[in-house]
Amino acid sequence: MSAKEDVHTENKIYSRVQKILSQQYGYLSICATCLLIIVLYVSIAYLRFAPKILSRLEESVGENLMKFAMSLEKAKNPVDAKRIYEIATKSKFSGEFNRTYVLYRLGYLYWEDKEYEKSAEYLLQSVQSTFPQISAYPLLIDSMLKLNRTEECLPLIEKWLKEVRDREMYAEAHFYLGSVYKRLGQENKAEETWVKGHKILPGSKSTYELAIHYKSLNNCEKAVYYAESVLKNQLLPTREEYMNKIISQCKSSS
Amino acid sequence: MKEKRRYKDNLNGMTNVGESLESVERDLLLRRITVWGIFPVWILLVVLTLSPFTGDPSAPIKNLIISFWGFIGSIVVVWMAWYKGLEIKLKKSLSIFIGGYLCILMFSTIFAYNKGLAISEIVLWFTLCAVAFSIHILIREERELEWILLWVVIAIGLSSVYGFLQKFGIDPFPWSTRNVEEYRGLPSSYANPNFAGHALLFGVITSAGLTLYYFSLIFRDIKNNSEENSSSLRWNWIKLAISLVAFFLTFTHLYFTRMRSARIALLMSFCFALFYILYGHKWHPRRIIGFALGLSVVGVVLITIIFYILGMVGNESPLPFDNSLNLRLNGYYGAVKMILERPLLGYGPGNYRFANIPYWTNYEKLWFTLEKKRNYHVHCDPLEVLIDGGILAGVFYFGMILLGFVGGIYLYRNSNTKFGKYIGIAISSIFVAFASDAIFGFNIRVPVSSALFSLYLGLSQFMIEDEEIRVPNKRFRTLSLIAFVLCGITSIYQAFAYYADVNLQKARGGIHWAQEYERKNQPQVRARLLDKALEFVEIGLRYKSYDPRFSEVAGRICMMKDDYKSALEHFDRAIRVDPYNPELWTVQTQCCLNWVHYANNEKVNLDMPAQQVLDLAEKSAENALKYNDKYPDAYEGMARALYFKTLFLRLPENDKRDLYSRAIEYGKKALEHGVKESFSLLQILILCHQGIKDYQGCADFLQRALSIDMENIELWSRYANVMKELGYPPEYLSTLEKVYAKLKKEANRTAPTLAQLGLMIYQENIRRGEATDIAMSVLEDTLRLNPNELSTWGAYIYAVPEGRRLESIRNQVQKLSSATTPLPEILGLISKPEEEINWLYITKEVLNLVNSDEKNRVPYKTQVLRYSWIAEICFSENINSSKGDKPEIYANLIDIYLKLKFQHRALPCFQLAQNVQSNSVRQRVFYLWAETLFKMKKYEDSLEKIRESLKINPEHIQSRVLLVQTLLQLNRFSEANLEFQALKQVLPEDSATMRSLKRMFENRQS
Repeated sequence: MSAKEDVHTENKIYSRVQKILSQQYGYLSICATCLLIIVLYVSIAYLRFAPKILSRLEESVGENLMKFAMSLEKAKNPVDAKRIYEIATKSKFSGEFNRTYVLYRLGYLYWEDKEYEKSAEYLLQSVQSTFPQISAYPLLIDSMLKLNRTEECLPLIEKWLKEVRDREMYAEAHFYLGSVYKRLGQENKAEETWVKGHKILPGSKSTYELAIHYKSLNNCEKAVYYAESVLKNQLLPTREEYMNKIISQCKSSS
Repeated sequence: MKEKRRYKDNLNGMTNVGESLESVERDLLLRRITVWGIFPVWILLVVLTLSPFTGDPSAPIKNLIISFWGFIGSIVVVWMAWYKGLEIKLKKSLSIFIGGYLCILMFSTIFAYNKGLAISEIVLWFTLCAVAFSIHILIREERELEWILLWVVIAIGLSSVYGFLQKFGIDPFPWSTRNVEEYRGLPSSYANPNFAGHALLFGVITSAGLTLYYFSLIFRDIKNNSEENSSSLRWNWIKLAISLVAFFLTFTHLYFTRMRSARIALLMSFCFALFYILYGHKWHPRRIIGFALGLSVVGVVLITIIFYILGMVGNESPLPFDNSLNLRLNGYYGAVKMILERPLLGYGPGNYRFANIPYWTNYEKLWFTLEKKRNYHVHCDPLEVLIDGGILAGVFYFGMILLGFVGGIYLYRNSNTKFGKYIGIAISSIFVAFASDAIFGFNIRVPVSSALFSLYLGLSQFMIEDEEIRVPNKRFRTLSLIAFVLCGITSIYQAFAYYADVNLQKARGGIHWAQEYERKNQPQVRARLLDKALEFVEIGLRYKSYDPRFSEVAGRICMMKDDYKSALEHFDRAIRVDPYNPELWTVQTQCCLNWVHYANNEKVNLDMPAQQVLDLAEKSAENALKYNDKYPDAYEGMARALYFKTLFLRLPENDKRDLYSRAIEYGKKALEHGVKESFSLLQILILCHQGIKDYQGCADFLQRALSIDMENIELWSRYANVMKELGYPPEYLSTLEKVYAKLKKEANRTAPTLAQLGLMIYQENIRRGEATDIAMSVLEDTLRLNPNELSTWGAYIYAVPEGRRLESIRNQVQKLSSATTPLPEILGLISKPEEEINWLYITKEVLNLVNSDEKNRVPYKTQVLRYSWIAEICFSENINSSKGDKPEIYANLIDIYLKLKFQHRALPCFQLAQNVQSNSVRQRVFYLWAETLFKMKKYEDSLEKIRESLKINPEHIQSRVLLVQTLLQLNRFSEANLEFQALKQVLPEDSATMRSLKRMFENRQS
């Protein structure tokens, strides 16, 4: 083929391409092909980096499971929520505090189901983590007391008292400490601790326990004092009826 | 008037399809009716219709409406071609892109795995293309364009009103997802907030464009205030109000859907509109596209850098993306792999949903298992299009979007009116938004957004500068006729598809109610409902055999009807069209296992050898795990299948041990992966550990099972056996005492378990050498707690030496008679003075009680604790009696013992009952005797008793059947055959008994 013919063919192709490009569909098809190439390039680039990205995404699977379980809890489906939380405990978390939270929720759900052994197991893990879940302490101590593991409670409450941040919880810690002392037969120490709890937050559970304690000792004066404190502060509405009963009993006996 | 004049003026300045076809005078009335009347109704129906009769209330009915429109459009076109003898000019680009896309999809269908589904998708695509095509033919004037857009805005606005009513709790539609988070995203008439988001984009942008347009008109009219234009001003105010209200409604609704991709899409479209108003309007459309491509290249570089950062930078720390993003990124990975595996023709339209399972990443496996869901779409339309039809399909898909985009720009450029300017930008912005939204979703596959896409694609061709294909009337006639026929077929197809979905929903309803009636213990109503449900689903199957949901539901119904063979056939059919679905494989496993279990319980024969059924179960579970190794139900199924093999197949001991070990391995994995109902699996694991004599493992799982069901008396009984094997570890007693103390708090409710525990504590104390009196105290304590419960008495009596039992009962009855709780009536009968006791009456009473317990599904162990002691006392007290009713008493005792599965205790009773006076009772005694001996494999003795039974009643069918079975066991084939032939005269040949005998014959002879 001569050079002249080559040029002729080239011109022919060029004019043909130009003709196609001058048409709407031709131009758009070429643009669409370019877009397709872009999509394919991005896809292949993703394929190259995806294993690393996906493995990093898998690291936060625990958080996503946690959210899923939380939504189940919200939808009042604690059975499935527990199952998902349990799977989450075996998964990877991007933040250790989230694992702690999962343990706490799991402990809470078991505590609600009165499965105190499992509840204590998870709650204990949640308070022993690097980011202890302080709100787990009351449930943990309660579970321990229900399981008659009273002696194990003392070091836990000591730790709790060190980590506690607000007044309400400080008072609650004293209430549980008093309860533990009482279980251990150390009535005086229990009384002393409850009094402390009462001073921290009058009308709290410690106050309530003091009212009952003094009533059992037939010290009506103090029983009435603490019962009235419970009524006055209105922190324990469900127990007010019993406090009224103590007051009326004491008054009638005097 | 002025407004009308303005329109006419506008018409003069534009090139439109109609003008090139024929003059305005020859315009068709039918076309006008379609545009001005049928179109608005269609838009309203597509956007607003929901059907409560289908599982998905949106897609089936909307698809039907869309296809129906295609049919109407084709009628108009046929009318134009045949009646009016017109010729048409089609836009070349639109024809090429739409036609090309359809052709590619059809071609890829040939190689699709599920061809039925691929065809159904093509039908849908054909309808959408027909909509776009017919609209580009039918719309000729700007005011028609305005009219249609106004109705789009009204329809989407009304849908948003419904969305807000949902927010305030006013919603008459029976949503099944009302309590699901999804409902809070205001699904409105789209059935899903994401779908709503896709459609709302059209509403928001169009209403914004119309609002600006009407505002500009009003602004101009107010400036040129005259009486003449007051009427048009009033109308413009009304239209402005409509657009403005629709804008606020749709915009707010879009916000409430919480859809991020829609927000990004809206932002992109806003950026484009701003760019176009500021600079782009001076540019040629081709330059704009070129610029957009340039931007895309920059975008690609940026995306690659982002990928690099996500993958490489900060390698140690995890990426805290939420689940939605996480799933998308995982899904894209599999999708890209799929594209690279079949780049040319793809997997066929819609086949992604079936083909993607083998490409699931670990995260997807975990998530879809937990949520019992799967991804039907990639959530990235460009990728899904490539999977559907390969690379060429991708070119046509992008071509269609670019065509719509360019069409809007041409409308802006070529229109002399403000309407053209505003709506031109709006249409282009819509295509920008659509493309952006498609990157994170599947808007082309959702009925409303796909219908709107087709509508806008057709509308965008209004003033596009494009070559036209002139179709002469002769060819137009042929083409219109083909289109008419095809549209008719697609409409009928969609109608059948909808009808099939309605039937599926009815079948599901039937299953639900059947379960309800099962709970109410009404088996006949349940059976009727299941029959009806099967009928419905089979109707559906006729039209949608490619849809695995139908076969699966049919299979489940058959399983509920105990017709396992048919169920397996249905599951097999479902698996053929959905071969990677781990859930289907697992259901098949369950079906096989249920069949074997049922056959064993009901003493019916399997239609194929047990080995084959159990192998199928194992294979199915294996397949389920092959496609999803995080599926706990499949692990559970596998464990169960292996355990069943040990239970129902005759295997050498070594093989059995191997199967037990494997079952334990799979069972543990099921628990590890969070199997939902773990109790039954724990029971299997306990038995498997017992099988391999790993008593420690057995004890561990027993404790786990007991922590789930502490009151399970059978488990406690097993626990005692395991502890015996472990040599009664020191903590055994303390565990029992702890649980006893716990259950004591609810003594009434937990009476049988408490009795069992009391007995176990007593036995352990005795074993440890405790004095009997002290050991007995726990049983006396239990008796005081629950004197009204026979099982408590049973536990107590077991601890009393045999000779002193009656006396002991009298003492305790005397002691406890003053208690507030009344004692069981039967105790009053037993504690009478010896000569007054009516043992025959007592045995009859006990038999009634056993029957009633059996009916109420009282656990077997509880029944044993309740009644076996009475039977024992009755047996020993009457053995030396010479009363006339002695044989009758023992005849009743036979029934009691057999019901309590105490065959060895029943055996001596047969001897004592054989002289019973009543012929029928005597015959029954002999028959039961023969049956018991048969079960004990004492065939000669059994034969003798059968002969006795037949002597009394030669026609007794059960005895005759047992005779054939016994003769077969004794290899006396000719006699057995003789009896069998005789039985054929009285029993229908297709009865279960005859089939079972036939199979026995075959087995023995082979």
